[in-house]
Amino acid sequence: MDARRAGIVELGIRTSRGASLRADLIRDRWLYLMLLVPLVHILVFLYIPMYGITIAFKEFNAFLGYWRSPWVGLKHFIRVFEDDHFWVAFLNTLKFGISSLVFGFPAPILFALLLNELRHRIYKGTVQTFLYIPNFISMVVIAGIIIDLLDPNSGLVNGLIVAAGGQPIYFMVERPWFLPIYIGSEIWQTTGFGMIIYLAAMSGIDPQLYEAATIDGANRARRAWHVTLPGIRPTIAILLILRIPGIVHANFEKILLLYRPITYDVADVIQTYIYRKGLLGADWTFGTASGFFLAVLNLILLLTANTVSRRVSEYRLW
Amino acid sequence: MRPEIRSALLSRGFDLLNATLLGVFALLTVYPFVEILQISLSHPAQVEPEYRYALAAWAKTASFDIYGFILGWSRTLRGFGYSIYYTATGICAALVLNTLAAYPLSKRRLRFKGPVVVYIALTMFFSGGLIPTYLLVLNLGLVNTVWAIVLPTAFSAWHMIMMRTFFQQIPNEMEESAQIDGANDLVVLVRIYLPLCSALFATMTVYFFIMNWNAWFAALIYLDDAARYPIQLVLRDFVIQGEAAYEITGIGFYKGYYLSEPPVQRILGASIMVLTLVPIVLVYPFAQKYLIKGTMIGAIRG
Repeated sequence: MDARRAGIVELGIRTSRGASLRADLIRDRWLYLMLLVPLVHILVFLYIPMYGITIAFKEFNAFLGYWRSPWVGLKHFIRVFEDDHFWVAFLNTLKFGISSLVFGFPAPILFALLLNELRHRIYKGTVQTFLYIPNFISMVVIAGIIIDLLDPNSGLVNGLIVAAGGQPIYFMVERPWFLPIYIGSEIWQTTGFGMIIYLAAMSGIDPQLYEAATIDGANRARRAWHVTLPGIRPTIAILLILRIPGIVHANFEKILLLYRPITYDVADVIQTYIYRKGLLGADWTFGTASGFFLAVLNLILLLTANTVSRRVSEYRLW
Repeated sequence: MRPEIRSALLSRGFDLLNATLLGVFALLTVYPFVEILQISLSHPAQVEPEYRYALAAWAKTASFDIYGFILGWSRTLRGFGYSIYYTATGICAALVLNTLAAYPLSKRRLRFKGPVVVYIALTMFFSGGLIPTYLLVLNLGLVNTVWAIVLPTAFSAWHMIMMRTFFQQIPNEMEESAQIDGANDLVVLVRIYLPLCSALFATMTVYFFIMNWNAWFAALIYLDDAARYPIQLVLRDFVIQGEAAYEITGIGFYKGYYLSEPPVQRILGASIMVLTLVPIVLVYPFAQKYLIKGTMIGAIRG
C-alpha cells in the first residue's frame, strides 16, 4: 500500500527521463487497453476502407478481395471521366452545393441576428423551439412530407395554387422544380439548428460594448452592425471554412428519396450515381474511382478554404 | 418630432415587425407536421384540403382508428420492433466506443496522445467512401446483421471530442483519491466518472438515439430481407416508393374504402410518419435541454 501511494505521489513530479516511459506505460496500461478498442474499430471500419480505395486502380475480383486483385492503373478513372452521365451528375453536384451555400449559409446568421433582438424571453424560447424541430426529423419523414405537401391532386401547395386560379403543378416530376425543392427544404431543415452556434457566440459578446455604442449614440441597427456582427465574425469564418467542402457534398440521402427516373438528369449527384451504378449496378471499381475523386476534391476544398482564410484574415481551423 | 421619440417609435415598430415575422416563420416551420397529423386523423372522404380546412365538419368525422389499424399490421409492428433493436444496439456501441476513446485521451499524463489524436482526426477529413465500406462489411460477413447497420458509423470523432472536453473538466482529485484505494482506471471510469458525468451520458444517449432512430440508408444497403427493415424503410417503401398497401398487408378496407384508393393511401402514409415521429417527440424536451446546451458549449470551446 505504501509503495503504491509513493508511486502516486511520483505522478505529480513528471520526470522526462527515458526510463520513466516504461513506468508510464505500465502505470497507464488500463488506459491503453481501453484505447485499443476504438483504435482497432477505427482501423477496421475507417482505415481499411481507405485502403480499399486501391480497387479504383485494380481489376476487382470478388474472390481475390481488395488486397490481391491485380493492378490496372488509371483504367477506371478514364472510364469515369469518359462517362457522360458522370459529368451531368458532377455539374448537378456543384449546382446543388453552390446554391445551398449561397442561400443556406446566410439564413441562420440572419435569423440569429433577428432572434437576438427579441426582448420577450419566453417568446424567444418558443420561436427557437419551433425553428429547431425539423433538424431532429428523419430524412424519410421529411421527404414524405415534401411529397405529400406537393402532391398534384390533394397536396396543400397545389390546393393553394388551384384556389388562386392556377393549374396544379406536378412538382416531383417536373424537372425545373427539383433544385428549388431541394434548396427550400434544406433551408427549412437546417436554419433553426444552424442558428444555435451564432446565438451562443452572440451571448458571449461583452455587454459593455453595447453600452459604449449606445453612449456614442448608435441606434439598434448600428449596434447590430458594429457590435454584434463583428462579435460573431470568427464563428462565421470558421463555419464558412467547414461549409466549403459541402460544395461537392450534396445531401444525398434526400436526393435519393426525392428523385425519380424522370428527374435523374437534373437530380443526380455524384453520390447518388455511385449508389446506383456502383452499388446497385455492382460496378465496384467505377463507384470507388468516382468516390475517390469526390473525396480528393473535398479535401482540396477544405485545405484551400483554410489557407485562403488564413491569408486574408486571422481565422483558420489549424 | 423630437429625435429620441422618433427613434424610440422606430425601435418599437421594429420590435413588433420582427416578433411578427419570426412568429410567422416559426409557425411555417412546424406547420407541415401539423398538416400530416391532421391528414392521419381524417376520414377518407374528408382528406382533400377543401374538406379538411372546414375544421368543424372535419372534426366530426376525424378519428384515431387508423393508428389501431397500422399497429395491427405485422410489417409496421416488426418495423418498430427492429427500429428499437437497431437503435438500442447503436446507442450502446456508440457510447462504448466513444467513451473508451474519450476517457484515456482526456488524461494529460497519457503518453503518445498526439499521434493517437492525429490518427483519429484524419478520419474527419477523409474517408474510404461508400463502395469500399460496403465491400468491407460484405467481406466481414456482417450483411443482414444488426452490426452492419450499427458498427460502420458507431465511432465519431466529433462526439468523441465533445466527450473528451467534458471529461477534462472533472478535477483530478476525484481520480487520485480512488487510485489511492487501489482502483484501476477502468474501475475509476465506471465508479467515478460515469455517475459524475451523467449529464454528458444523457446528452450522448439523446444524440445517438436520434441518429440511430432516424437512420435508414445503412439498413437499405445492408439488409436483403424487407422483413427485417426498420420503420424508416417501411415508411420509405410505402410513402416514397409507393408500394401498394396490399403488398404490405393484403387486401383490406378502411372505413369502407379499399386500401389501394388514394385517400386511404395518403392517410396510411401520414399515420406511419406520425408514429415514426412519436419517439422523437418524446425525447425532444431532453434534446432541447441537453443537445442545444451541448452544441453551445462545444461551439464556445471549439
